[in-house]
This record gives sequence, C-alpha cells and structure tokens, in this order.
Amino acid sequence: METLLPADPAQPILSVRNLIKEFDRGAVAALRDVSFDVVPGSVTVLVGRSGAGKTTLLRCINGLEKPTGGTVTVFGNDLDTLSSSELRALRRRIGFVFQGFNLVGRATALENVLSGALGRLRGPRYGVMSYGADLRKEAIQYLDRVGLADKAFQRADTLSGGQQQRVAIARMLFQKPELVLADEPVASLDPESARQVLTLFIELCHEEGLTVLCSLHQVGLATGWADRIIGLKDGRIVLDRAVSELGADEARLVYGNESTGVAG
Amino acid sequence: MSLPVAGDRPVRPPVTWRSLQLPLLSLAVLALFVIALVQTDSSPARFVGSLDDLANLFARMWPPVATEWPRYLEATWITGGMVVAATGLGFLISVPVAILAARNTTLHPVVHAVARGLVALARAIPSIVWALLLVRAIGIGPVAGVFAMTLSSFGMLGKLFADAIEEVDPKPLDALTATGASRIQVFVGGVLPQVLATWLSLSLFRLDINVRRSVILGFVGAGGIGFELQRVLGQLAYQRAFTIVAIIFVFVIALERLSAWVRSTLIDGSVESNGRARRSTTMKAVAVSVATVGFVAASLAVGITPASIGDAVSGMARVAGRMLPPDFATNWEGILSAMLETVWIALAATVMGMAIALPIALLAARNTSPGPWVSFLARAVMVLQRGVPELVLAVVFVVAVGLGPFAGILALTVGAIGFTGKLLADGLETLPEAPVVGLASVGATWSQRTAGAVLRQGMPLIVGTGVYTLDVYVRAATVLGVVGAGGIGGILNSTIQSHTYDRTLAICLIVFALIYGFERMAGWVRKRLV
Repeated sequence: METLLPADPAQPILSVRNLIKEFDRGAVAALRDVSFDVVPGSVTVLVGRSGAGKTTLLRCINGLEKPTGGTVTVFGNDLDTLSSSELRALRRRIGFVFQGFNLVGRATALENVLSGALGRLRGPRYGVMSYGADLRKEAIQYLDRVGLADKAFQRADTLSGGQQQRVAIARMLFQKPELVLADEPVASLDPESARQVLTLFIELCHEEGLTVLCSLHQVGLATGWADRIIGLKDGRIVLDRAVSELGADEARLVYGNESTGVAG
Repeated sequence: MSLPVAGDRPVRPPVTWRSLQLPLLSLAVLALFVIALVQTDSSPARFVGSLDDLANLFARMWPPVATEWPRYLEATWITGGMVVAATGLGFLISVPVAILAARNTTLHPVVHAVARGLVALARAIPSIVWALLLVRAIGIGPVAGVFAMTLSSFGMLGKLFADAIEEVDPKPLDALTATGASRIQVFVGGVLPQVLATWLSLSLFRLDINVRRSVILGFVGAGGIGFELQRVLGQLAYQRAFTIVAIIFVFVIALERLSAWVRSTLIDGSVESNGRARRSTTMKAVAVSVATVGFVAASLAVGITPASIGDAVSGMARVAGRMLPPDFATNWEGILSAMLETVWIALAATVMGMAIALPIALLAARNTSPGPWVSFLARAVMVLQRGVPELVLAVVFVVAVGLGPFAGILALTVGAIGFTGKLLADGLETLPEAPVVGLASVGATWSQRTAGAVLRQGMPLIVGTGVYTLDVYVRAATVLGVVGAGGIGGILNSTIQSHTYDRTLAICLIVFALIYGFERMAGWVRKRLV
C-alpha cells in the first residue's frame, strides 16, 4: 500500500475516462463511454432514473465492480493497476454511503461506527469491546455528531431508517475518507427524514472539507448545495454543468418537471 | 478537526442478561467439553497419537488389494438392490398408514392415534438396531437389512407423508365432496394431486439416507458390502478393507450425485415454461416406469418374497414377545455409565466438529469465501467426506485407535465436516450480503469482514447449527457401540446377541428418553437464542 499515491490538490481527485461496464457478457450495457473529472472539495450530484447506471458508476469508482473498459483514476492511482491489498488501502480513503445503509444489523450502533476504522486496524474484530477505549470514545463523538449518542448500545436493526443512515454516515466519517461516494443515500427514507438526513450529510461533509459525489433521483433535493450536476441516461452522460451555469431551460428540465426527465 | 465533546458518555456496553447469554453458554459448553474429554479418556496427547495410529493403519492398508473384486462387486450390487427395495417397500407401507395417520383423511381418531404411534415406534429405533433384531429374528442376509431400512424409511416417510396430507388446501376437497364424490374419489381427485410431488421428493431424500445406512448394515450381518467389510476386517486383511472402503466411497458419492441429478431434472424442472414442462411430463412417465421395474427387480434380487415378509413378521413378533416386561434392573450401573459416555461422545464430537466445520463452511459459502476456487475446493472436501458415512468411519477408527469412546469421538468429529459443514455453508449463503459489502467499502480485509459482518450476523445460525448437531450426534452416539466405538450401543448389542430382549427393550426406552430430552433441550435453546 506504500505504492499508493497521495492526493495532489492541483489535480482532479477522481478522473473517469471512457468507462464501459457490461453485464452478462455484453448482453446488458450499464455504462457506455462515461468520462468526467471531479476536483477536490467539490460537491457533484449525479442524477438519473433508476437503471441509468449511477450505482454501477459509483461501484466502479471504489472497485466493488470491475469495469469492462476505460479507466478510473482516484487520487492519481489507476484502479486497474492496483493489487487487492492496494485496492483495500484505496477504499479506506473513499467513504461510501449506500442506499440500503449496509449496516451490520445485529451489531450495536457504536460497533457499526467503530467498524469504519477497520481499514486502519489490523486483525479481525468482534464486538464493541474488541476495539480500544480511545477508539470507542472517538466513535461515540461521531455518533454524537449525527445526533445518536444516546443510541450507542442499541442494535442497529432496531433503529428507524433515518437513524440507520445516520449511523452509516457516522461510520463513513469515522473512516476519515478524502472522497465520499453516496449512492441514493436517502431513497429508502420518507420525504421528511430524507431532507433531514441529506442536509446533515452535506453539512458534515462540508465541515470535514470532503469531496462528494452523490447520486440522487429526486433532483429537487440537490437545490442549494450542489456545485455541479451530471445527468446520466442509459449509461451515457447527457448533462454536465456547474449549477451556476445551468441554463433556465436545463434548470427547469432538471429541477422542474421530473417526469419528462432530460436527466432521466 | 474540532469535535464537540461528548462528555463522559459510557464507552462500555451495558451488561444485560441478553448480553451475557452467549458468553455464559460458551463457558458452559467449554466446561462440559473438558469434562467430556476427561471422562472419555481423550487427552490431547491421545489426539496427537491417533494421527500416528491412523498413519500406521494406512501403511498396513496400502497398497489396496482387489483380488476378490467379483465378490465385492456382487455385494455392492446387492447393497444397491437393498436400498431400492427398502425405499420402495417403505413408500408402499407409508402411503396407506399416512392416510390413516393424517387427521383430515383418517377413518377414526383411534385409527389416527394407532397409525401415528406405529410410525413413531418405527422412527424411534435406529435402523442398525432394527437390523440387529432382524438378523436374530430371521437370520443373516440382505433380507434383514432390507426390512431394517424399510422400517426406518416407514418411520420417516409415514410421518412426513401424513404431515403433507394434513397441510393440503381443503377447498378443492369440499368442492369434490359437494359434487357427491366418494371418500376415495375425494382422496384421488383432491388430496393426491396436492401431495404427490412432495411424497416423491421425500422418498428420493430417504433414498439418499438409505444409501448411507445400507453400507454399514452388513456389518451386523444384514448383507451387502458392509458384510464384506466386516469379514475382511475379521481376517485382519487391511489391504482388502481399503478396497472395500474405497468402493463404499464411490458408491455413496455416485448415488448422491445421481439423486441430485434426478431431483433437479424431475422435481425442480417441473415448474418450467410450457415446452419444458411437456418434456418433463414424458420424463416423469419414464421415471415412474424405471422406478417400478427397478423396485421389483431389486426386491427379487435380494430375496424379498411374500414368504420372507411373513417370516420377518412372525420372527419379529417372537422377539417382541420376549421383550416384555422390560428389565431395567440387570446391570443398571453399567447402563447408566454407558448412557453418560454416549452424551460425552456426542458433546466432545460436536464441539470439535464445529471447530473444524465452521472454517471449512466459511471457505465454502459463496458469499463468504475468499474466492470461487477456494469455495469449490471446500465444497469438494465436504462431498468427499460424506462419501464415508460416520459408522464406516467409526469402524475404521476402531481399527486404528482401538475399541472405546475415543474412536467414536473421532468418527463423529470427522463426520461433522460433511454434515455440519454443509448445513453451515448453506445457512451462511442465506445471510444478507449488504453488511459484508458495507465493511468491504471501508477497506476491511477478508478476516475483518468475516468476523465483523458474517460471524456477527450469523451467530444465531452458528449456535443453532451447533445445538442441532448435538441433537443429531446424541442419536448417532447411541449406535456407535454396535461397532465398538463406545456408548450405550455396545450393551444394547450384547443384550441382543444374548437374546435377553427384555433388557434390550429397557435400554431402548432409556435411549428414547435421552434422545427426547435432548431434542426438547435443543428446541428450547434455539428458541431462546435465535
């Protein structure tokens, strides 16, 4: 993992070039020739209907999925050239927030947050007490930041959806990443908690100065905090604009009538 | 980075009764495990020494000698015939009894109770004990083995067939009754179509079990390849024994694969699209004809005739008459200590078996394995282990390390690779994948993902499988003694050999009580923890 390059602030933190991903030996094309860069400190929103390729794109970026063609370069490292241990070291620096939270349901909220540190720890852990007292203290503070310190010793699967996603966000922050990927982080939540959790997520990422690439299918939720919008349709980029340069028509199409969905 | 101070919040989980359950259970099991090892004289040094013993035995077995191969081939052929005949007979007896035993098709509540009681009796006695009794009642030979497996098959199929009838949808039956159909017409037109597929699937499953049982029955004189194994071991002809064990191995694995193939083409394939379904109807007709012809041919080949059935019934009636009243008094201290030994064997083998089976299962399960090749190899190890049924293993270990419970512990421990390992691996594959992906995304290693997500999520499954293994192993340990591998089976066998059937019955009753007690305890623990 020593061979991994550190992030260069002058360079894009993430660079995707001509990315192609096919499933079932080419029968299904999820991504067709996708290219874009993400600069450090920016917040990019990926919009598109389900099936547009957002999840596949995000999974390719942290190496959970292997591309069929093209390159993904993160912090200047070409993913294709990394060994499996280098890939693990890279994932340590990429936080991932899942639509389904992906918590360990039988473990407590605190243990789930603690597991965010696994990438910098050696050896397997089982149970809260298998982590040192310092780590436990720190993890509680992260739970506090998402407003769930009082739920520390509650089993994760007994929490509400919004609470579970907040635990997952605390785990991601505890991982201390440089780049955050979020795949429809609030799609499984009711509208009220969706707005709350998304606001909290963005606030915390801003506080930590993290670069964010977040997919959403409800574009309205991105208003006010996104720097840039990338629209994906049938595995291709159909829109790529800074929010400030977004034309009125495009804005209406993106923010307004979602059912016609240019971005869809 | 400035963090808000969390104050002096506790960083230790609160101690609750729930949080103590697993540690307390582990502690209790560990303590009992140590006692079991001490009581069965299984010191760590002995385990190390047993490796030498096994190596010595293999040295004496190598190279295998197959000069008597026509004999072995015939015995294997007979064993196959025994399996087919016994499964077929078991099916034929189970159908009418199950109809009488099912609450919704029985003639009278008393008939229902009697039928259920008969089935329970057949199930309560292990097939090898049936074989011992039948060999005494009608003499040495494959016929005794066929009837022993028939009774055990009846014990299982009779119950499950009746359960299937009780679970049918009553609405079509009401409709048929309303049109004025007779009871038999209602059964054939309403019940049978609903249960037939289940019955056939269960019978195929029983065929698998009978394959594994058949190879050892000959060891007590009930014919087939097991009889050859016992003969050559009696002559200390270990190189021949090797050949026979290899034949058993191939026989069991080949038939297991064959039945898996039949299951996937006939039973799972029946819910395909139209074209496929038609083809599978033809295949079903062919399969039923093949099964019928095979059953008749097998029965004739192993000597099942109306006369032999009559002999068996009258012979068993004679034996049963001499069982009453049960004699609990003679040698009760010996029986008590043998019962305890049975429990210690089961406990020690369960703990050690779990310790071996769990890592193999983690490597084998698709979603927890480090890679597809590792998974394939681990699955192969399990399948290959299952090729040597546990009583055959017990025979081999008795030869290697001597008579007594230690051989039984080794046999059941190795048997857990195929049995418990498969249960665990199949169970692990049903666990949700999301938590594992979640840990992968933070950069966790395989061992970290396995401990933090798989074992964390799978603990109820693992504890449940361990308790189930103990339950099954208490049953298995009661018959190990028949081949000299410790426990109550040794005394049971000697009472049958000496025709003191009143003592046999007493021991059987005590064994039922033990098995029933463990079954209840297993159910209770699983309900509490899972």
